[in-house]
Parts: sequence; structure tokens; C-alpha cells
Amino acid sequence: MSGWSRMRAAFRNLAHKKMSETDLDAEVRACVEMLADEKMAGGMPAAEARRSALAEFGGAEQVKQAVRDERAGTGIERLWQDIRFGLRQLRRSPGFAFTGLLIIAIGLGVTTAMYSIVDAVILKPLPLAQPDRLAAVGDKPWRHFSLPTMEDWQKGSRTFESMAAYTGWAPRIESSAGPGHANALLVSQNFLGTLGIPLRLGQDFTHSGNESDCFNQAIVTDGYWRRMGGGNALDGRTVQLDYRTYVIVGVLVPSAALDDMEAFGQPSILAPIGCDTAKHPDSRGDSDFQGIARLKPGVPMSAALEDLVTTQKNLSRAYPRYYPPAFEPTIMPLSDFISGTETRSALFATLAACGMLLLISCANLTNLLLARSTRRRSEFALRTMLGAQPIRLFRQMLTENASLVALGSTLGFALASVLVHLASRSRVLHLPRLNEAHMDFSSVAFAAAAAGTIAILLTLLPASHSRKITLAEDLRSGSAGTSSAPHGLRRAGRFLVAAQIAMAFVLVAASGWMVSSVVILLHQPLGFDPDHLLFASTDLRGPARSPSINPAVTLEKLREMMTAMRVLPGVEEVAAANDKPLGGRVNRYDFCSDIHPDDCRQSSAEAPDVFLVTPSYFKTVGQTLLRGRAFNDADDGRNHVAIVNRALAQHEWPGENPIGHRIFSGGLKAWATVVGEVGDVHSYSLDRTPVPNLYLPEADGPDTSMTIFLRTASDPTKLDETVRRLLRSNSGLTVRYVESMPDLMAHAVAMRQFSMWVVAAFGLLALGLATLGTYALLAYEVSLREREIGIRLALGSQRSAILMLLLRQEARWIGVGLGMGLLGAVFTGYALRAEFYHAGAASAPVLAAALLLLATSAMAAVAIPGRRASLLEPSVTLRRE
Amino acid sequence: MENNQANLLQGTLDLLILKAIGDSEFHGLGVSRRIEQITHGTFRVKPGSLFPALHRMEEAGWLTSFWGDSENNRRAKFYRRTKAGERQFGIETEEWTTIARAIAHALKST
Repeated sequence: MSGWSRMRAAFRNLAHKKMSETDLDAEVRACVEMLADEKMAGGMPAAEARRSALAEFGGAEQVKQAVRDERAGTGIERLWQDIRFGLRQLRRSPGFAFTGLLIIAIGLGVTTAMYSIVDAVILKPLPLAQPDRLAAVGDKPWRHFSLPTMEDWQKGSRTFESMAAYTGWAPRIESSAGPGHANALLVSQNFLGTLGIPLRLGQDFTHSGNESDCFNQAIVTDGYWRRMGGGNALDGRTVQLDYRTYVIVGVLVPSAALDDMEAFGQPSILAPIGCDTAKHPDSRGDSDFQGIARLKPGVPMSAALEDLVTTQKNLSRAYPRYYPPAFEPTIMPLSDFISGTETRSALFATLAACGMLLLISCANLTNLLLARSTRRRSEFALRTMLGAQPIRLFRQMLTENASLVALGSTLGFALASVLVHLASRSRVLHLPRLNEAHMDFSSVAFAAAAAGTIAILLTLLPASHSRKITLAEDLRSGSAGTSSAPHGLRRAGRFLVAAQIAMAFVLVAASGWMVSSVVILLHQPLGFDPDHLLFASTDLRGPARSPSINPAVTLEKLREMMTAMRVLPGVEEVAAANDKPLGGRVNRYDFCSDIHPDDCRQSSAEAPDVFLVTPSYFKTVGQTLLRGRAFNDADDGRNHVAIVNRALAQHEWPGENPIGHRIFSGGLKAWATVVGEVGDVHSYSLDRTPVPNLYLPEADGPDTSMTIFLRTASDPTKLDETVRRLLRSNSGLTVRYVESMPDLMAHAVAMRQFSMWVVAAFGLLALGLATLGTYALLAYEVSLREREIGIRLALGSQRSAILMLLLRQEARWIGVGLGMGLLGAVFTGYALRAEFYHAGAASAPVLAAALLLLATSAMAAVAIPGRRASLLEPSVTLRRE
Repeated sequence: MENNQANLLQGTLDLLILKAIGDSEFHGLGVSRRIEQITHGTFRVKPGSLFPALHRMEEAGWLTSFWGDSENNRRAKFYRRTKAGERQFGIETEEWTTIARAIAHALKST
């Protein structure tokens, strides 16, 4: 049968329903009459002929129904009927409809929004050519490696098509977009080719094969190109990076994957590696670079890693003094590297929390529906008696729920669109590729699948009960209005309540842990005082860079700058160091102490991080001096002194006073005497515990890249502009950035804080929903048992005994729920332990608090209707029937 | 005779109706009588099966219908084969012949 003609017929039937009905009626009637005519012609009396004809025909109505069933479009028509009926039913109980819609809309909306975010940030393939063949290459223990190492990896391995190195660069930039500071990426010449990023204009870098060649070429992103004035011709435009002129040879396509990638430092400009003289592309011992690689087609990541490890083993044998024994290359899919493991697990945890909330909502709604289907038993019984088939009733119930879910999902979808829009514009969230998040086909598909599942889940339980219809009983009790709900139904309802409590427990415990871990993180002793601290990262080499740096000039510039800042109003203390706390930069040199003077020649991953600081540094940042003295102006580099932190002191001279001991540092290339011991600071990040640090006077081998710290009397951001202006007015140096320490810390925890708020909101919502669910079920039960309670009271039962009876009966189920929840929470805590910064965060007190909170609210939810039940007047309840 | 009704093979009803109508036109009762006649009374199609089939085949475009007067001057709905119906008749005849031959062959084999 051709689909087209059937579709046309279906349309005709639906559109001209009345006409086809009269047509059918006439046809059937004519047929019966003709049959009767034949019989009369055979000599039968008229009345008997008619009766006999009808009998032979087999019932006119039945034939008509058979034709209708066969007609095209019957299914659609019935569906429409059911939908209209369902909507009428919903209109009849607006309270139920409103609650149901709200529950579905919130549950589905939040989950869909979260899914869209996860999809954009993690699931969607990178917008690069064949992204599954791309990998990020790093190494243990440093993550960074040297260029000769990578070149040897590429030469020695057989599984890579190409490998490219890159490293961040923060030069001063000057172009037609004005002067400023840029995030740049120094890349090997095959970088763009390896990633497969196309250019909108111009061409890729010149491939000379020698990474120390520079050619003064630069490629800019489309965003920066537009800031420079845009246009479709390169016109030999140039840009100045650190006062050196670069010709722009290419412009990346708009929204090329690089722009938004935190993992690459969101660069706006790319230059070949040889262009920054501070990086030494030829030295094997350095660790400046990270790598990306394109695997040969069909090669799995594991095979590539194996290949790389074997290659490195040969290298370590050939150059033992450059690679520590623990040195090993690592490799991971580029998409994982870009989204970041931390972000991934945080997002998946949040999505799981959303899903759980949705389940709680479903359980809650099912409970409402169960109660409703109990109330509607008499309606169903009546309809069964009138000839409705059970399957038809089931279908109708499914349609009713589906219309509820469809309406709720539409609302939820609108909510999700708003949420995703807000999230993608959010400035607080620093998620890679978040701005790509929007409601697309996959979000719609996800929402539709979730909605379908909800509709089926909602229908199964109530329907399975209404299938077992006991006609006589239901009809009899129908008019009375208060029947006792069947045992199975009540058990199902209680089971759902227990499940809700269990899931709510998990969410409440998880959110408690999340909140406490972020609070611990933000309030842990940092080892310094972050409040009222402003810092400015500068380059003392300044515009007129000479190849040889004069230490005296550098020191003089720094001193001059600090003197100028000290007199600013609102500044209490000024100091400088070559890196900031929570900075993440590493300066490690060969190191040994007088205890093991022979360890010096070995480069070791356990060497302390070296900081060069000015005399008042410890006082300015608020780092505690535990023993000895701080640096002073007399430590001008001639006397070689050093200060150690507690971690280093305990590592080298456990249990001893470090003052007077001697250390050797590759930074100084000399031995120095320890004159002081200071407290530990979080030098890398908030969640990394302090490591051994060595402090040397800035005067003793000055660094040109210095961070100036200002302790201010009031809000440090107020001084931000003043400091910038002052620094910019000095022609001898360039400014990288100015930021306040509280801002830096807020940025560092933004993602976790976001997760914390989301999860905390979920915890509260879950708690509320579970309490509401418990309350609703018990209130309903009490309304069903009014008569029983009335009899008990009339027979002399105490009111307190009634309350106790109800509490005892419900407490069993709540206990089951709490028990399941406890198990789930412990398991979740174990699975999510990486999410909590502090080992102590996934702690028992939080678990106990969650248990108490849930138990109290659940018991309160039971006690309120229970108390109401105990106050019933038996004379009223018993007379009601 | 009546219990043969249940044995009417799935799909043969359409074939029988198309054959019964042939190149002329019949109303529902007429189709029923004609089938009885051409099968020598082996098949008697009940209205409960016949009418749904007629409507379905009309929707499929194999039959077309019009209102006319019956032999004893009653208004009745008449059915006629369309071009598509003729084609379908050809297809179904061929299918049936193949099946019938195969079954006959199978039964004859030892």
C-alpha cells in the first residue's frame, strides 16, 4: 500500500470526519436493507426479515467500528482524544497540575542545561581536523620538557605523524590596536599544521626545520586582527613584541579552537620558538616546552605512549645526566587536556547531581500520581464495566502523563535555554569552550529522551496497580470517597519515599562536603596574608633591550620603582620577588646542603623552588619569620646568605636549627649560609600543599622578571590604576599585569565555587523535595485512615498513642531510606574524593550532620500530619460516612 | 462452510475482492455474493471483514467508490477497480500462483 495515498486518506478522514461517518452509516444501512429486501422477496414477513438481516449482518455498529479501526489515521484520532481528555483531567485538579509541571520543569530544565554545558565543554569533538588523532604530550614529573628531547622523541618513535612544541609567552605588544600586554604562544613551525587549524588569510610560518630560526613572523587570531582594524588584506602589517618588529604572515579563522582555550593560555598571537631569546631551544637540560602531537591514522593512544616510553628509555641511556630516573613521557587525548581532568570530574559530578535530583522529582511525582490513581479507581472501574479494555486504559493513562510531561518539558526546555544562555555569558565561569554552549539538536534529543523516560517511569507503577481492578469493591467504595488504599499501593508509595530520602541524603552529604571543602580551601592558613595585597608583574629589561643584562642597572631600576611606589598614598609596604605565591612558576636549580655535599651534581626533582626576594619581602606578604633574621640592605650579594622555609629545613636538617648551615644553589653557583627560617606558603596553588622553598636576596644575581608586591591600607583594587600608570610612565620597564591577591584566589576557586553553589542548591532542593514527598504521602495516608483512627479514638486510644503508632510505622521506612542513603553517601564520597580539596573534607561530621538534618526533617514531615490525625474528633470522622 | 471463513488466508481476501469486482462495479453485498459465487460457495465473507477491507483498499487507492442505485432501486455505495487496483490484482495473482504451485508441489513430493 503506498504510503502517500494512505497519508492522504488519513488526512481526509481526520479533516472530513463527519462526512465519512454519514457515508459509512448510509452504506451499512443500505446493505442491511438490501439483505432484508432479499429475504422479503423470499417470502419472509417485513419485521422478521429485518431482524434476520441484522443478525446475519453481524451487528451494524460492530461492522462500523471494524471499519473505523481499519481506517487510516485512527491512531492519531484516538491519541488526540486521549490528549484532550488528559488535559481536561489536569484542568480539573489545578493544584496537582501546577505541582507536577513545576517539578518536571525544574528537574528537566536543570538537567538539560547541565547536559548542554557538558556537551559543549567535554563531549563535542574539538573543532579541528580529525581531533581523535590529536594528543597532548607532557612528562612526569615536570610536565615541561626541552626542545631537543621532543625532537628526539619524534625521530625515535614510529607512531606519530608529527609533533609540535609550544610555550606561553607574555610580551609587551604594540600594534595598530595600541600598546599593551599580550598572551602569546611560542610554537614550533609545524604547530598549526599538526593541530590542523586553517588560516583565514596569509600562510603558515616558514618551515626551515630549525626551531631557533625566527624570521620575525607572527600569526594573529581573528579576534586580535579585528582589534587591529581587520580587513581582508595583510598589507605587510606589523606588530611589535617586546620592542621587536614582526610581520604578520597569517590570520587564523574566526573562533579557531585556540582562542578560548585556557589550556593554551588563550593566546591572541603566535610566533616561532626561536623569537624569544629568553628561551633556549637548543639546551637539552631545560624544561620550557609542552607538546602536541598528531598520531598516525589508526594508532591507539596506548600504543603511542608505549612507543614514546621506549624512545625515552633509549634517550635516558644516551644522556643520563639530563634525565632523572623518574623522568617519563606522558600522553593524553588533546580534548581531555583542553577540558582538564579537574573540570571534567567537576562537571560530571554536577551532571550526576542533576540526574539524581531529576530522579527524586520523578519519585515525588509518582507518589502524587499513585495517590491520584487510588482516588480514580472508581472512575476506572466504571469505565472497565462500560467496556473499556485494560490496554486502552493503560494507553490513556500514559497519554495523560505524557501530556503532563510534555507541558512540563516545554517549560523545562525554556528554563534550560535561559540557564545555558546565562552560563555561556557568565564571566565567573572559566570553562573551556563554554561559550559554544547552546541548545542544539543533541540537547533537544537529550531532553526528549529524558522526558520520554519520565513519562514511562511515571506511568508504570500506578498503571500496574490499576490493572488489577477489583470491579465490585472499587465501585462500591467509589461513592464513599475514602477507601483504604490497597496494601501494595501503600507499600510502593513508602518505598518511593524511602528512595527519595536515600537520594536526598547522598545529595545533601555531597553538597555538605563540597561546601566544607571550598570553605576549608578559602580559609586554610596560606602561609601569607592575601588581604590588601596587590601585585604587579614587570619586566625590568624594558624597551631598549641589550643582549647583555647589567645586574647593577636592573637593581637600580627596581629600587627606583619601589621607592616611587612606597610614597603612594595608601601603600604601607613594598617589596619584590621573582615569583608570587600561588604563582605556579618553577625555578629549580641544582641544590645540596652541607649534610649531603655530593648530591649537587645530580639534577633532582626534589630540589627546592628558588625565589629571589628584596629585603622587606616577608614583612610585605606577611610570611612568618620563625627563626633568625630576614634579608636586609647589607645582603648585597657579596656575602651569599639564604633563607629556607620550614619544609626545606625539615627535609635537610630534621629536628635541627637550620641557622648557620650551608647550602649550595645552582642559581648562585656558590655556597651560602642560612640566616633565617620562614613558614611554608602555598607557592603553587590553593590545593597543592607547600613544598620546600629556598629564598635568596634579589641583589645576589638579580632576575629581570620581577613581581612587585604592595601591602595597602584599604581595598587593593583601588590602587590598581595608579600603579599601572606609575609603571607605564617609567620607560625602563614593561608591565605584564596588575592584579589583587583576593581576585587571584577567587579566580582560582571559581569553578569549584560554582560547583559548590550548584550542588548546595541541589542539596537544598533535594532535601525540600524529599521532605515534601514524605509529608504528602503521610498526609494522604492519614486522610485515608481517618475512619480507622476515629474508631481507635472512640475505643479509648490515647491521642499520643495514635501519634506514636504513625511515627513508628513511618520511621521504619525512613530508617530504611536513611540506611540506603548512608551507604550511597559513603560510596559517593569515595568516588568524588578527588573533588574535595582537603582529605578532611569528606569527613564523618558532615555525614553525621546530613543524617541528622534528613532525619529531623523527615520526622517533622511525619509528625505534622500525624499530630493532625491524633486531634481528629471521632464523632465527626465516624459520622462522615 | 462457515468455518472455512477462519481459514481464509491472510491477504487472499484482497485478491478475492479484486477478482470478484473484475471490470464491473458492485456494492458491498454484491461483492460478498459474487465471491460466494465464484468460489462455488467455499468462501462466505462476513460484513465484519468485508467492509473494513473495502475501505482499506479504497484508502490504498486500489478501489474507487460512488453512490448509485441498486437493482431494486436503493441508493448504495458501489466499488470499482482503479488502474492501481488492476496492477495490484496482477501482482497478487502472480504471488498467489507461485505459492499455490509451490504448496501443490510440496504436497505431491514423496
